[in-house]
Amino acid sequence: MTVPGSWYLILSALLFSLGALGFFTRRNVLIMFMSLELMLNAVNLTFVTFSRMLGDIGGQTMVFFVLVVAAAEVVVGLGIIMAIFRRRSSATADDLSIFRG
Amino acid sequence: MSFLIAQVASSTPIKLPPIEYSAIAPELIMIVGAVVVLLVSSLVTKHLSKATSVALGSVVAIVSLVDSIYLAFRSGGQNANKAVLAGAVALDKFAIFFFVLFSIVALLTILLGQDLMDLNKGRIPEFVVLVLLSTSGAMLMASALDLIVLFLGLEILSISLYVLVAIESGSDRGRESSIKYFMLGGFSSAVFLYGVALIYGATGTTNIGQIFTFLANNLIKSNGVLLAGMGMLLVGLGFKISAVPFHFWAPDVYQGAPSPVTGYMAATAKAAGFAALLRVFFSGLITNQSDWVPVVGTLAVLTMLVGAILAVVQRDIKRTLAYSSINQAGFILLGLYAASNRGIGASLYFLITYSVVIVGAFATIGAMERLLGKRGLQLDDLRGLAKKSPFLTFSFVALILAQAGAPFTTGFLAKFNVVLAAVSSRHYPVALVAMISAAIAVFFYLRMALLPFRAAGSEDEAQAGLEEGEYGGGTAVLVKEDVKVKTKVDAAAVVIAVAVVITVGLGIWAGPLVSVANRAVLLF
Repeated sequence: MTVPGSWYLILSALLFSLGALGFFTRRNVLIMFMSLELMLNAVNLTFVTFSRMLGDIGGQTMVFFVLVVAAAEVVVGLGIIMAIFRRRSSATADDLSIFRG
Repeated sequence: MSFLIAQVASSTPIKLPPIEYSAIAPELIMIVGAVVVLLVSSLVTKHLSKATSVALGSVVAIVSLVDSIYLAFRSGGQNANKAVLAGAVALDKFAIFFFVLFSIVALLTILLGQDLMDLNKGRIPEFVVLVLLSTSGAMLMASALDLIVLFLGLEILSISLYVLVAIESGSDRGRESSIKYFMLGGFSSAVFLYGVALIYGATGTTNIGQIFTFLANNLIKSNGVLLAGMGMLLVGLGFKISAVPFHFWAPDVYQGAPSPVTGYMAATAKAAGFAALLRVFFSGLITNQSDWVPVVGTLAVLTMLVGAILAVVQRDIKRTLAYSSINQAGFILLGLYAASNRGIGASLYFLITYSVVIVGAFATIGAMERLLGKRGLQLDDLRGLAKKSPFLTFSFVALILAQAGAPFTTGFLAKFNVVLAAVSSRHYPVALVAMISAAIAVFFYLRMALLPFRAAGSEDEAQAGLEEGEYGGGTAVLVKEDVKVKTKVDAAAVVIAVAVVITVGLGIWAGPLVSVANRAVLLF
């Protein structure tokens, strides 16, 4: 059985939407962060699928760039999350309420 | 085994593309300079004074600025527009224009590091390093000719900025701003990247030049993948330039970050976002302009109106300026909406003048925070400033009026040019909206500009102070602060003065900068 490329595209679009949905509905900062990673990985799947469909290796090399950038983002992001929630019991976005207006 | 070796030896060597280091020299100077400052500061922890790291960083920024200007003159001849590094990076007037802009902003910001020094301890080398690194990312964004290189530049810029926002030690406000910026920045990056993937799928390449060639040779209209890709690129970059409806992070982050960082962000991040937006849409996707021009027009209208209206109801100074900078972003979008060389030239002129103004304005606010000895200044805190510090008042008023677009400042011609570009592209309704929003904006700009000349404090407070006998003590403290600020050789004052001189000077003698901006539109 052969799986058409469009299935992968639909899957990655679903994963991306799921990530975006999770990002906007969940209140825990770590879960929001995980949703971001899900979105980035959906993009990776899209790149690989298009690369395969077009017969062009460029799309697959881009995945490496995305992976490296995602790793760098995780390092900085977890650092900031640690800094802000060290003195608090929970890591929910509702606590971030200094600014209004 | 020997067969394998023979095979390897006989096969043709892999051809590597020539790397023209001179074309990416400004970025390299920034990165190498940042590493040097970081090394020096960690090796000689005890003895490296904050002034030294600021001086080192300034030298790096100046070298980069000189190199950018050298590039501008050297590329004035035949091979002005060329793609280097296997077509991934452009060395054109557009890129060099932004090299100069970013170097100037970095230099002014690093000089303000002295200003940060009084607020927290021991973070100045990191501040300098992060400013240099993020500037290299911004430069890469402006010169990128490949969407992936653009993405890398965007991330180098953004990740450094997330940390810069939280640079103030022990500040909950800074951290909260930082995490909000980080979350929404990460989200916008992911959306941008999905846009890149979809464009790649639709055109088979991520190179902006090749995308243009492909779209010019193959008429692709109403292709879902391409349209979705363009939309997502617009959303992703819309976050970076804080266009409405992707603006909601900006006021919180601008308010919570230390003032020099806010000014730097407002200038560099926005200019880099616009550089990317102009290059991708005007250079790569111009053949499909009937698809994106209406969307950009809608964004411009929303951004101008919402920015101006919400700025009127703010009480916090930095928050007001945040909404004002959203309003300005709408005007810059107007140049892209015109989708003509004239429009892009107007946008570029707007960007460089706005960058200087906004860095100067936030430097002034930083100096006021120091003078008054508190953070989170409200509009009412401006009252009586004219008596306490005539210099700060004059600079603040000049820079605010420049944002309002008053004549004899660079702001006037900036707004005039983008509206003119919209009119000459026959976008009359949008030009009308722009003028209405400028009129609304004048209201809050004038209110801010007049407040320093009002009496200090409301009358009730002054009465209460007199009755309790504390009023005299209060003024004594203020006078002491004033003397302290005056006696120190103040880098912040230099930065403010430079910003005011550029804004007013080039506002009166406007010709050269306008022609430079108009010549920088020649994209590769």
